[in-house]
Parts: sequence; structure tokens; C-alpha cells
Amino acid sequence: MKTGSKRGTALAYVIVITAALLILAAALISTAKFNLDASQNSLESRQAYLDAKSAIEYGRAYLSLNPEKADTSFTILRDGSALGFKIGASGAANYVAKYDKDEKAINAAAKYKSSDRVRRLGYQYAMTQEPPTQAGNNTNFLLCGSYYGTKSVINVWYPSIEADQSSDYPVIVMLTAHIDDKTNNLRSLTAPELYFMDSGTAIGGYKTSVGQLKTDFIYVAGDITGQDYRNQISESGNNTSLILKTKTQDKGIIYFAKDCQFIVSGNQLNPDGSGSRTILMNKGFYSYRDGTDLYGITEANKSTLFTKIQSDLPTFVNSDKIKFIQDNLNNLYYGDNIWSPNSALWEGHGALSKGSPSNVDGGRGFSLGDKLVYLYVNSCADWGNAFTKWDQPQLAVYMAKEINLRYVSGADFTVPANKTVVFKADRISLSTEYSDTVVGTGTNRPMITHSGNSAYFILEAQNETNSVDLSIPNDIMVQYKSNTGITQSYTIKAGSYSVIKLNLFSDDAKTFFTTHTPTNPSGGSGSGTGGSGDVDLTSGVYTDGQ
Amino acid sequence: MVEVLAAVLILAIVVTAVLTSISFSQRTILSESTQGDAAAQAQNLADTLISKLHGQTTDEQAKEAADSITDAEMVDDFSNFPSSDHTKQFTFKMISDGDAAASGTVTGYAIKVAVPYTDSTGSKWIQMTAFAAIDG
Repeated sequence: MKTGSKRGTALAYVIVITAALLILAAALISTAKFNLDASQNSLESRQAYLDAKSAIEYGRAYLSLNPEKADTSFTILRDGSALGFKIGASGAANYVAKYDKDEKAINAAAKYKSSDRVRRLGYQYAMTQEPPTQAGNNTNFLLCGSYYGTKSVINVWYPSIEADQSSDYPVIVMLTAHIDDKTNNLRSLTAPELYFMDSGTAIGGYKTSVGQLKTDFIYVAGDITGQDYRNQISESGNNTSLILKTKTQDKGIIYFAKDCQFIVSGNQLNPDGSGSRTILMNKGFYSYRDGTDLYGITEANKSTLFTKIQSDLPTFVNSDKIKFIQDNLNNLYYGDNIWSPNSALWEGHGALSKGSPSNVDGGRGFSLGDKLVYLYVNSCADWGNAFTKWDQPQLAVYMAKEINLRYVSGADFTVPANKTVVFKADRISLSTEYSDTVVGTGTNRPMITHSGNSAYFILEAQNETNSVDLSIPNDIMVQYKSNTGITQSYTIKAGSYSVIKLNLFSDDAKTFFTTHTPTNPSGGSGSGTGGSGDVDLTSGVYTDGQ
Repeated sequence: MVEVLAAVLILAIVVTAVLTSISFSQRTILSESTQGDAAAQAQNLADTLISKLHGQTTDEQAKEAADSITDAEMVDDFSNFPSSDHTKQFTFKMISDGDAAASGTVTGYAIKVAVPYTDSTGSKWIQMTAFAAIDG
């Protein structure tokens, strides 16, 4: 064999080059295949993202319409059309998204079309602040008449403290409050706050009466008179007593709006045996002890029984409210139809059907244009009967300078079908609850709604071109039917708003209240304490859904 | 001589195969690139529509809101979608998960979007669906 021959070298080169080219071609094909898969994944990933987001859209809408479901876990499934969704049980399989009642979040895991991979996306609801406390909430409403609903508290014509009377709301007594039961049996009045506003004699007691005021704050505008006609100081039964009891505090606060006299008429009260005893209490705020007898005050013990407050008032005393009541005393009206100097006659013992709006039957012969009306309602049933004016059968206008609606009922606040209710006032407060004493959470309280397919609930200022100062102590849900017959709902968040002639049963109102952030979001004078509260079904943020 | 001929022949075959695979790979990559671009456009369009249609309580309001989308055509026929026009397009219709007048019923818009793209085999569509709720 000849050595050094180059025969066959070309083939060797060719084989090497061929191998290299084949490797290159394989790499290119592999790259192309990888791109193909990646692109397909990208396409499916994008659709899965849209599926996840759509399921969250559906879930948010469902909770918005059914806020009571916020405390129940559920799943969101594809419906039969594959275009929409439906709600499933919490453990349902093949869900696109699920709502977790504990986390208050909707987490979606939408599957890719051709693989088991999923695209995750989440929506975490915001949490509201804790609602105002019961005391703060209730003290926003004032009882300046005899009744709230069917509950009788005190007769406005001849205010007399009777057996076991109580109010869940602050009570304002315009005339002298009498304690003149002659049976020596206990007569008591319990309320969060008591305002005795007669600047002559605020409270007057008869010699055989035993009274009790149970509250944390008392306003005394005038003198306090009583009688003590015992022959011996140890004798019982011929004197007046009026015991102050605190309601929730260790010590209550009493405010004397002027230099007040405690005048006790008698026949043996003074050291010299003469009759009457007069003690002067200077104007100002004092704390009192539980059990203090107002008719037992003497010069010797008054500084012990009452301690003048020199520094800041305790937080449960609202000096702004006190000034408000002082400034507006003669204009404070209540809704009941019991005729009295300060009744608006808009309802009867809480039933709107038993009152007449301002524009019905020619009005009541006087204007409420400068009055502040506290309207307590617990029944809208048969409200349509209030719409009695023959030439405007569809319209009921309630007009005042200020309208404060407190609606307490297990049923929703419902405007009759095809009727128009107008609250025409420069300031309007709307409050609904299921109970006088329990504050609902979130929107767990009566809705403002209407029956039938259409109605109007219009808020407007006395001059309709001006804005209304609208105050919402706690979140309220409004539900109505739109022009297309679809049920719509939205939440008016707690706080203050400035609105110009707005029909609450309209898309405009829905847009307004879902896009405007209220000022003073704690809901006015309610004393919210912050911290974790309820789920806020109107706001939240998207998350990665993990 | 035979050896040289064989080498040339092998090389010719291999080079042809490599060139073919390069060409195929290039077409594939370019095609997927345009498909990916179309998919991104479709997702973006659907996402925009979800935002635009959310809260619109009537078809008229929804169409008015969707009118502000200028880079895609609004098509009325939901059943025959996409239309024959080979343009980026969308359509929607109001749907409800039950009695639309009943309380608590979720109503919203089923959305379809389509974005055309072209690869080596001709014109194709990327289609995607979405849902926008009125409430929430």
C-alpha cells in the first residue's frame, strides 16, 4: 500500500462538513419548533388571562349585586354558552375563579386550551373602616317630639316623666319637664342624652314624686324646682327626689346653660325653720356621680356632688352638637302627625302613609322652609296613600330647610311604583337600619328602593339650582330598575356629599356615587374607632392571584 | 474521480437540505412572530373593551363608549364574527346569567375580538373572547 496517498480525503472532508451542516439544520429546526410552541403558549396564555379577568369581572358584579354573599365562599364557573359565567358551590370542580370569604378576594386560575397550565389573576377587596359605634350613630338623630315610631317617650304639650320611659335617641324637652306623679312610685327617663330646654323652669317636681334620669349627659337650660313638705327630715313620702343615674359612664356630665337655681319649696328646710331652700349653680359643665339626688343639693354638699370641669370635656360630650341645638332650638321639628308646635305632620307613629307631604292638601298652613325636620320612619307600606293631592297624584314633596331621615325597619325603604318623592331641603341626612340599637355592618341595612318598574326619589335644594349638603352616616345600598328594565344597584358610601338635584333611582346617581369620594367618610358625627371592618365591595386591587 | 463525484453529490444534497431547513425555520419564526404580535393586539383590545364597557347600562351607552376605540372596527353581527373585512375588529352583546330583570342577576357584555395576521400560508385570524360586567 502506498503511503502518503491523498485518495479518500475529499470524502472525509465531505462527511465532516455534512455532519456540521446537519447539526446546524437540526438546531434551526429545533429553534423554529421552540418558537412555535412559545407562540402557541403565548396565545393561550393571553386568552387565559382574559378568561381570568372576565371571571373576576363577573364575581365583582355578583358581589356588588348580592353584598350579603360576601360572607360566603363560592366559585365562578363557565356557563353553557362559554361566553358568560355562573356561580357554583365553594367546592365545585373546573372553576375559573373562586371567592374566599376569609381573604375577601377573588382568585382566578384560568386553564390553557391545550394543556393543564393555568394563568392566575386575583382581585383583593379593600376593607372599610369599622362602622361608627352605636352611640355615635344614634346620637346623630334627635327626638324633639313625643314619639319615634310607635314608642311614646314624653308628651310635648305637657312633658311629664312617667314610669319607665326610655329613648334610644337623645331627647329634647322644649317645655318644663314635670315630675308630679303622686304615688311615690319611680318615674324614670332613660336616653343617651337629655336636653331640658325651658329656660324658665327646666324641671319641676311635686312633693310626692320620685324621679330618675338615666343618661350620660344632661343639658339644663333653666331652674330646677321641687318640694319638700316633710314635718321631720327623717320622714319619707312628702318630698321630691330626682336621682341622676349614668348610662354607660362612671360619671355623667351636666351642663347648666345659665346660672341656675335649685329651688325647693318646703316648711322646715332652713336652719331657722323657714320654708324654701335655694341653691345657685353657676353656668358651666359639671361631672356628677351616679346616684346624685338633684333635690338633695345644699350649699354644704354641692361642691362634693358636682365637680366643675375646668379642662377638656370628655369625648362623649359633643360641644358642637350642644351649640347646634342651642342655635336651632326654635326650628327643630319632628315628623309625627300629632299636632304640636313643632310637628311636620309627615308621618303617623312612623308610618308614612299616615302623614302628608308638604305639597299635599294645600300644606299645613305654615312653611317649614326654615325648619330642621327629624323624620323617623319605620313603615313605607301603603305610602302611596300619602300621594293624595288630586291634581298631582304622582308627586310628594317633603320640603324643609333640613331633613334628617331615620328609617328603622326590617323592610326596605320603598318608594311606591310610578310615584315621585322629593326631599327638598338644603341639607339632607339619610340613615337606615334594621334596629334602633344595633348598627348594621357594611350595607347590611335596609336598602332605598322602589316597587314596580319605575319611581323617582329626588334630592334637591329649596332653590333647585343650589347644591344639597347630603350626609350619610353609614353605607346605604340603592336599588332601582333602569330604563331597560334591568335591576341596578349601588352603594352610597358613608360621608358627606354635595349634590345638585339628583334622582337616586337613576344611572346618573349611580355614576355620581360610584365615582365621588365623600368628604368626612366616617359619616358625620359618628365616632368611628378605625381598625379592620367590613369588606368594601366597591374597591380593591388586582393581584397575581397566588 | 468517482470519489470526487460522490463528494460533490453528497455536498449538493446536504446543502440543499440545509438551505431548505433554514428557509422553513425562517418562515416559521416569522409566522409565529406575526401571530404573537396579533395575539398581543387582540388581548390589548379585549382588555380595553372590558374597561370601556364596564358600567355601561345600555347597548347605546356601550356602543358610545366603544366608539372611542379608533384602531379597530366595531361590528354589529355577533353571530357571524369576524366579518369578511380583513381588519382588526370587535363585537359585543349584552348577556345575563338569568332573568335580567331579577334582583341580583349579573348582566354584562360578551366580547369578541379578532385581529388578522399573515403568514406563509396566507391570511389568518387571532380571535379572543372576554366578559365585561355592568356592576361591580
